[in-house]
Amino acid sequence: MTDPSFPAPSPPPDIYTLFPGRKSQIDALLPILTHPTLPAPPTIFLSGLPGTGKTTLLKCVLKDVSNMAWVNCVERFTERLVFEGILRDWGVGRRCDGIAEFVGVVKEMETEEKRILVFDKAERLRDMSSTLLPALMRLPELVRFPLTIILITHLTWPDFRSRIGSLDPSYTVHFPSYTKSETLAILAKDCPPTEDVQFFVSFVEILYEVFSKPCRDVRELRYLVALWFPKYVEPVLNGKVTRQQTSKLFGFIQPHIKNALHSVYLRDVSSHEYQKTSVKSNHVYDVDLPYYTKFLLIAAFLASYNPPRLDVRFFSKGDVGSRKKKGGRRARVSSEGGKMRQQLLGPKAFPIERLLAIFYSILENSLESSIDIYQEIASLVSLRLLVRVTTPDRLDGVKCKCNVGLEFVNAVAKSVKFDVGKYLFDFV
Amino acid sequence: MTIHQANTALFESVSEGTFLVLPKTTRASSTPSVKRSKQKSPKNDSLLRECEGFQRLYGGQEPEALCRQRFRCYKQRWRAIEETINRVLVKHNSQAIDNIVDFVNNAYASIQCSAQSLVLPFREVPTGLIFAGINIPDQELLFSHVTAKLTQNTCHSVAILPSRECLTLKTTVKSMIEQFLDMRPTVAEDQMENNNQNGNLSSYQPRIKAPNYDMQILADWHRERNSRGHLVAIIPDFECFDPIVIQDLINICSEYQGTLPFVFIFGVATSIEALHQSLPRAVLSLLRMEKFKLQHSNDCINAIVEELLLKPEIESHEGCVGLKLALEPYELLINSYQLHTLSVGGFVRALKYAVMDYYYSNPLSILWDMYAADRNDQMQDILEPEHIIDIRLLKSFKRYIEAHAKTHPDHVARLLLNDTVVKAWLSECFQRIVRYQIRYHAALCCVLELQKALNSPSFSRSKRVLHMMALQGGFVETEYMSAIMLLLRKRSILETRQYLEGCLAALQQTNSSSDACRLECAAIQKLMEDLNEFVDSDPDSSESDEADSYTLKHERKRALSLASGSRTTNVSKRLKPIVEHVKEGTTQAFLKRVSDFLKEFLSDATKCYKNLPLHEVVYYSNAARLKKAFHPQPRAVIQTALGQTRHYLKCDCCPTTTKGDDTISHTLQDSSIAYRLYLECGRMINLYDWFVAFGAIVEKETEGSSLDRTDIQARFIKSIAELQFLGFIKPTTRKTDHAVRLTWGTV
Repeated sequence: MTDPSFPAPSPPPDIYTLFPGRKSQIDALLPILTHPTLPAPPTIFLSGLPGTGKTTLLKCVLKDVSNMAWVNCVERFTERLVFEGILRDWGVGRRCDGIAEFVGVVKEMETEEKRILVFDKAERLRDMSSTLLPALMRLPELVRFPLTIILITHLTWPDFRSRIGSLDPSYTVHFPSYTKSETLAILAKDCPPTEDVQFFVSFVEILYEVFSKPCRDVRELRYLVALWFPKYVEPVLNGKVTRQQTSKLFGFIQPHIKNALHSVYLRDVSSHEYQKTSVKSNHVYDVDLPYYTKFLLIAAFLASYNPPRLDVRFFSKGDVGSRKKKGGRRARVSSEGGKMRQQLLGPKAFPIERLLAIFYSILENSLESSIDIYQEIASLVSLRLLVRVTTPDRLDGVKCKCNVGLEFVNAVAKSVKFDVGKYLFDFV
Repeated sequence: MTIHQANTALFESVSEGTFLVLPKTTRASSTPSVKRSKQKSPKNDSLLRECEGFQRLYGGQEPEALCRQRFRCYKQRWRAIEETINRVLVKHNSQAIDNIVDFVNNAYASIQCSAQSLVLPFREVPTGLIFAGINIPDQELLFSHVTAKLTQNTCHSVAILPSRECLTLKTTVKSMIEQFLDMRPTVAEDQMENNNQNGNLSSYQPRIKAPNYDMQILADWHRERNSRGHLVAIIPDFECFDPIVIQDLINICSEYQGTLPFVFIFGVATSIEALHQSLPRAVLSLLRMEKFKLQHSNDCINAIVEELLLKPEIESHEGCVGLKLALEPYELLINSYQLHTLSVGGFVRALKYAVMDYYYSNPLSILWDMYAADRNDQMQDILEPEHIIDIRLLKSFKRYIEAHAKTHPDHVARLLLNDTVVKAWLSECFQRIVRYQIRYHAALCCVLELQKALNSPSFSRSKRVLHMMALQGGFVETEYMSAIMLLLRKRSILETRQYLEGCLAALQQTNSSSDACRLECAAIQKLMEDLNEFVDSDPDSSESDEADSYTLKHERKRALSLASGSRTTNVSKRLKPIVEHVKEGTTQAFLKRVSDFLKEFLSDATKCYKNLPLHEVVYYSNAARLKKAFHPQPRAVIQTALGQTRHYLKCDCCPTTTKGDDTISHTLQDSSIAYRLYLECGRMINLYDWFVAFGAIVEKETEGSSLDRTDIQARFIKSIAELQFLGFIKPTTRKTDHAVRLTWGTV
């Protein structure tokens, strides 16, 4: 790229500082895309994990480029939306239903200018018609003007190959994950203008140390930094400690961070709520269900986590002879090491009849079977506490899975004074 | 059995099958009652149509005007009840609704104002999560209120996206855009468009027609509209929504967030877990979520019960609001709410049915309404002889007669013989009922005051529960009541005074109640005077107060164990001697006076409604009908239908089942024969054996001469097809020529 006959346009000086750790990518993209005459490769493939700066960087690079069409494939979810969006960006407002029509329109465009076509979240293109992607990849060969097609995706090229065939992109730029120092450099850029950078960086380092295990996503880390920094700096502003007493500051912030570690990504306390009060995220299962629905849920849980062959043992009433057997079982379970415990394997599907049988057996008082019970099962399914495994159009032999965890069921069972543990194979 | 009960029994059958009888001209004659009345006049049909199926009772002899009146009363009363319910619901959720509206109004403002404290690296879409309880259908009302509020005062645009209309992303976006664009333009916009001359809807449409699910349309429209209102997308049933669709929708909206001020409102039925389950973290991070908790449906039900079932029905002669339910229907409604649905909507539906049935099946129902509307004179004119007979057949009337036979033989004789006396007696009875209801409500309020005074969570019961206890009768003798009465006697003097003040306020809350409880008010005032005197004269009382509070804990424990029912006899034995021998002029003696007064008042005011003459007219008691309508038992119904054909088909040739002989009669209906044979089979049924057995029974019909085999086969196939349709058998591939039995054993 340093050929003197093609003087590269001087990059905006700040673009390197704007994207720490992305120098090679900028160098690869900036000259070929922004030069007005330099021919660019017909297809460019940008890949890298989410949150590695692909879209942001490309947007910054193409900021001043005219004749650029940007397609977000999530938003433009049908072919018609894709093509009409592109044509609108290129100044051709017309209806366009399919790839054939689009190619026709583009072929007739009387222009010599270099054009760029970007598909963000390009993996979605694979879900549209099967000819779309191969046709788009061939498009630069068909048109009169120099055209560059850029695909941005978090997948790798082999994931596209099944759709496109052997036509490889002419140019691939990979965006690797950020290293620690790069991440810190990015996070340091969020430093509020009024704050001392050194102080901010020290906080960011602490935060990174704590959170780097569960979360390397730069976006999430930036969010966390923005969320916790005011809390961190609060004692300083109150005059309790000075900026130099890092360990003391850490002591103040530690309980908050500990709390936040449980709910990384979950956002159960939003940024706004967090500002208003120091709400603690609490995992209280305060779903209030009707009395019998609670038992239905418990029965579903038991049906999902107990093997059917043991139903007789757990749920037959007035069976005294099974005492001895129980002891023998226990020994066997512990010798198995518990690796294949159903609690670890997840819920199993069960037929609805089994659920009802267990339900009627765990109820203390007898209950007339009426339409209510079936209604409650249906409403549990619609609340996604039960998941129907069979297709909805199948009316007989319905099978379900229980979609709640042990903790939830324990809370529910406690509210109706029922001991789940007594009936669970894994815990007996 | 009274006449009207006998009459309505015609509409009931052994089965619980539901028949929809439309009041059409052609169909009307098929309903049994009309057939009986022998008056198949077109007039009757028009009456049926007009009154939505209300029929003339007394075998069609009831005057048409009265039938119409019953229908009118039903409409009127239900309207009043519905208004009350809506008012209660709106009142209960108004705080939450206001919060939501505030949230939407400030959704974007808050970002700017708080900029100095926290700068987020990216913009989040403001999202309100409404935790509205597990009853999704109940929430429609709420969301419509929210929508109305949002569009009314401010110029926000609202799109409601229920999951049933949003199966794919395309339909979702389309429906959202359509709802946003269909908003009525604001006044300012109207003027602007007028100035533009060509300013119709096309002004914000692009030159080419974009597909109607293109977000660009929305962006253009918003630019043209140039308004400060936000775009509020409401998803009322988050759990039912396809997670993929909602993810994409959020992605798209957040993409446009720079230009379009989106606000999401999700109705979440369970907990925030649901969100975490269906949204990946990349999508979650696009939302700035704020939670709103709605009032629990329990509170709503309590308020509805209080307003409609507890409060005296007749206040200030404006007609009835609410319906008095007898014990069984009340129990049914409350149980089905508490144990099965937690649905306010379901409760209201059942209540509506009860109101309808009250007027539909009871010819005496109009009396109460006429009394309420202060039209006693008219009431005496319209009563037919049948009404009077009906009244005399009421159980409570009989009881009244028996009770007064000795003391007032003349009065009783006149009641039994003279119709006009009965008519006059009616309003007297109703007056008594009204007074009873007022006092009853006041008494429950007093019990609540007592709870407040005791301030102990183990003794707090809602009015709903108290009402249930009181309906069961013997309210004062219940363990709960005796326990809290006992506790009352352990309170300090000052607390007792506060309590008495509270009681007085409760009794005097309305004019009518202070009127009805005049004696009690006076008694309380006397008690309070004595109390003041007592406190003034005895400076030591404060000390004894301390001693009291010292023993209080201990006593409460005792009372608790009394309430829980264990060791009841022991405790009461031990307590009794202490209680009875109190010295005059001490705190104890005074507290005993208070509790004695209270006991007397409560036992009078909360006596069972069944003791009132004519309570059948006012209290709706047909729980069986409600149960049949709202809690049908399909399997039991089918089994009765097949097993007890005699009752089900009202057929005399079918054998009675009570005899105990197991032979299957050939006179039974084919499906029933097949069903009985089925009952004798195991899990797998050999079709051929079944067929042979079936044929053997059916052949008895012709007494010797054999039936055509193909005939029998056809009938057999027909009946087992029916059984398969009813879910008794299923074809199987496991064994040739066999069917699998589906129901459990001989249940």
